Amino acid sequence: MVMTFWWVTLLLLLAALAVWGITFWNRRAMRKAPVLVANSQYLDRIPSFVRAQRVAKVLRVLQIGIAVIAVVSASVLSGRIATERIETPEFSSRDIVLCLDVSGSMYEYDTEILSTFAEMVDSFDGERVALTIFNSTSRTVFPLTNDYDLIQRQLEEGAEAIDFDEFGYRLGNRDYPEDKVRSYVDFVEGTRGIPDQASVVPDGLASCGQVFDQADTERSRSIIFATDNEVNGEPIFTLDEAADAVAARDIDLYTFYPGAYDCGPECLEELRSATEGHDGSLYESSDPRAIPSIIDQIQKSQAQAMGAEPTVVRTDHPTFGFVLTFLSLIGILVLGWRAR
Amino acid sequence: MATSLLTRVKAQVDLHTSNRARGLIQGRGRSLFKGSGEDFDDLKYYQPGDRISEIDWKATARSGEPLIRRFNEERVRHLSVVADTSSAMAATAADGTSKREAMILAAGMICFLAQKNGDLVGLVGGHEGHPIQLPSRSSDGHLELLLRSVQQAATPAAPATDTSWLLERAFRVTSRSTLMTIITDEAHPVVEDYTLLRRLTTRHDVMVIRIADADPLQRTELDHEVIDVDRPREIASLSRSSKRVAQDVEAYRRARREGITEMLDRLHVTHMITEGETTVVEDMIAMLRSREYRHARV
Repeated sequence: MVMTFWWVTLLLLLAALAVWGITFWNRRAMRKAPVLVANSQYLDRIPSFVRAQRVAKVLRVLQIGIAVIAVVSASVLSGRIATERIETPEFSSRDIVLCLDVSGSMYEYDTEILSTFAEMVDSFDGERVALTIFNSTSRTVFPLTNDYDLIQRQLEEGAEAIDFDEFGYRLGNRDYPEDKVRSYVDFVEGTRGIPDQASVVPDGLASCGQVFDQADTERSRSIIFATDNEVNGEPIFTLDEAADAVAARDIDLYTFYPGAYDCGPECLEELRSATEGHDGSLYESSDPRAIPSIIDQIQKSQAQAMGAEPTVVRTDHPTFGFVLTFLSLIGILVLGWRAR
Repeated sequence: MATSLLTRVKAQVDLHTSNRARGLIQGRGRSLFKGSGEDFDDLKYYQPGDRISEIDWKATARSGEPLIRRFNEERVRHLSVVADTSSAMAATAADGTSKREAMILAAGMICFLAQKNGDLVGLVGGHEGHPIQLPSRSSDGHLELLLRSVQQAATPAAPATDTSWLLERAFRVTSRSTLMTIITDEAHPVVEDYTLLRRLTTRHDVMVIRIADADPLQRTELDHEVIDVDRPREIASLSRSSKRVAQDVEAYRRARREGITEMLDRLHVTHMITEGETTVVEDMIAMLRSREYRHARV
């Protein structure tokens, strides 16, 4: 709740106070000379007079009260009470594809990304989200959709399922119940189409680029791409080619890099040049808990990139002030007529 | 320099009496105030209020009706003005003039008539904390002082009316039998003063001049506030313009006025009620004349 013209309100209230003050100080001068009478004490013993005095007093109190309400409500009305809402209008035509590398080294980050997005679903209005995971091959968990119930359910289930330390399990360091293992296996099903290969990152990115539909409509498209870029296999594309393909379809690329696992800095360098070479942004953090803030940054930079600067939308709420002013004016008229 | 009050009063009285009452006041040297004296005038029928001691028993026995001897009053008579100089008298009279001015005019008329006949006029007034008393004199200066005293005492700052104190005081300080004129307002003397008044009538020939109060509602003057001199309070326009209130107030005032009138009638006191400065002279002449007739044969 803000007042657009709060100074008008202030001025009006001050003016009202000033008028009141002037009339108050000059109330003697404004009255005509009183008529002195005597022997009128008996008036207090006349019931109709006492009643009339009481009614007059009540009317006066009402008049003053209503006048104060009228002045206040009129000045509040002139001040234009409004609610401010920060709106990013074009945001609703967004398509976001979560493109997650589900190789063993990434599971913590994936979990965090999925659960962050699951929480964000509530604030979505018109955006479409898709989830694609890849390892040696890629699987679209769900395509672009605005069925938020489905998205939320899938994201939560995915976050739950991917929270699985595969290496630890294989090495016998970690133990998981049967259900957990099954749900993990079910979730990553189809991402290991090519035996003995893992994390074929460029192909994964390229197939994420294929998820977007409605190529002829004007929508903002973006991929949130989480990978450590440690390729163990024979990709069809190079990372640069994949990024080219993505950029060619007007898709913004937001890359998240969790830090080196096996590969040296050249992996990061490749990822950075592929991303930034195509006007994408790269975020890196080795802390899974930094994910929400990174996604927040992605949101902001995306909003900026779309020209959807968060604008302040003011909505006036004149009803209350108007009705109150109107009613009190009627009250003043009625009471004024009555007291005549 | 302001004209002397007495001159003003004389002018007023002359104005009012130029044609109509010349005879009453000036004509043929007749005394306006009939009453006890030594020169036998004539006999008249006894009427309630006349002194029993004045009944001429022989004449009564002869005629079969109670008869009273009338005398022209002594050459020098004593008059006293008992003026209610309370705050109430500083208020507005029924005709919109000042009650005080009306009172001064009434007192001035008494002085004027007294002076014509060479009578002496004294004054009793004031209030408990500050009694005013002037001895009986007839000089111009004295009468002027009398009127001035009344004028200066009756201010809005004076205390509220206390007629019982005033009547008691008048009774105590006026030892000689006088023609006593009590000047007060429509609400006085109150009915509780009956005993005091009766006691006064045993020694004095009492006249009561009552000046009517302005309507406390002032329905036609809503622009102006109405303030009671003794009880300042705000009277809302609503109360002032209400027909119902006006009726009730009028009924109350009428009842009060009639109650006092009835009491004074029962005491056989000559009395009158006047609207204010504009009517007081005429009303007084009418009262004095009717007083004359009271003594006349029926």
